[in-house]
Amino acid sequence: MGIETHLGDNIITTTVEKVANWARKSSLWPATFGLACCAIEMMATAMSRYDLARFGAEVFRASPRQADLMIVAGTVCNKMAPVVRRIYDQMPEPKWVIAMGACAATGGIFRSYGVVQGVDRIVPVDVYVPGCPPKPEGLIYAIMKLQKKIEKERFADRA
Amino acid sequence: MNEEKEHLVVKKLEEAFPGVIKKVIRAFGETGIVLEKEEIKKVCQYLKEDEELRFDHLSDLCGVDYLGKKEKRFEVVYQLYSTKTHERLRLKVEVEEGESVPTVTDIWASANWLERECWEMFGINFEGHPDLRRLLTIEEFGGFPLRKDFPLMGKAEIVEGREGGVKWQKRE
Repeated sequence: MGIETHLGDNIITTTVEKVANWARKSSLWPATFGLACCAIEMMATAMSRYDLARFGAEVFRASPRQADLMIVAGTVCNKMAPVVRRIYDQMPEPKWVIAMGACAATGGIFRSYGVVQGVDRIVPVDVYVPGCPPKPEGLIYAIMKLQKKIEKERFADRA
Repeated sequence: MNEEKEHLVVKKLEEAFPGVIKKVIRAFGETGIVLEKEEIKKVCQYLKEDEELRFDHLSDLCGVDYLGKKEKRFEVVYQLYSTKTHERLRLKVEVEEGESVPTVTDIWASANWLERECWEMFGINFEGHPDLRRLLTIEEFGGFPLRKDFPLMGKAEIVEGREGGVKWQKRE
């Protein structure tokens, strides 16, 4: 059928979009960036027991300029908000954000004058993970969800 | 602080500064002394330098808001500790809204940040403080959040700025 019948078993055809999305989802580079107790679970996720490397997202980068995934792990207080936003702004496109835990998603138990009521008020969020803190399985599931989302992304939507 | 020691502190203070003690509070084996606001600096200096007492460590300083419950609205509480005798002592001064308390930063350096926090949270001014700036909240933050009449969610919030960054926006 089509051109593939003439190319034999060693060549397959696809679209640039699909290949690029496959490459992006298979090698997410998160920024090393933890704000509170959720960060401990994030570290546990990266360590040998849960082994985030199985999902291609184990390379936590110390610089936002080398990262394409921001895992907001913890409470974002007012004083931290400009820093969170700056880290997001410094990351090169394409980039994604996971709001990890109740605090990052909604402010959590900290319904007060000092805490940002959900990190989506300052940066666009792709996946929210509930929990206080979420178990590593939760974060892994969020990353898998994000990979599904990246798979379906269209170049036209990003421009 | 046992009974004997407490008497020593009270006695020595009465001797050194007659009439400075307004009230002695004993609760749960701890001693608190309510003092005249104007004398706090002299008393602190004395408590720190006296050979027998040596309260050389200010472990905490905080404010209390007694809105509508006491004649004077605020109270500043000093928690002292002696590394020589291992005794603790609590000092209290009553402050009305708008009044200021003499700073003790030149007696204990640890008072610097503690007084800053106390000012930031309650709006109690510390006279003579070298650097009375906000410590925990952002600079744009208006009001004093630990006052009883401060709204829980504050008067403004952080939102995404129009061209990147964040901005501090008043709540409707």
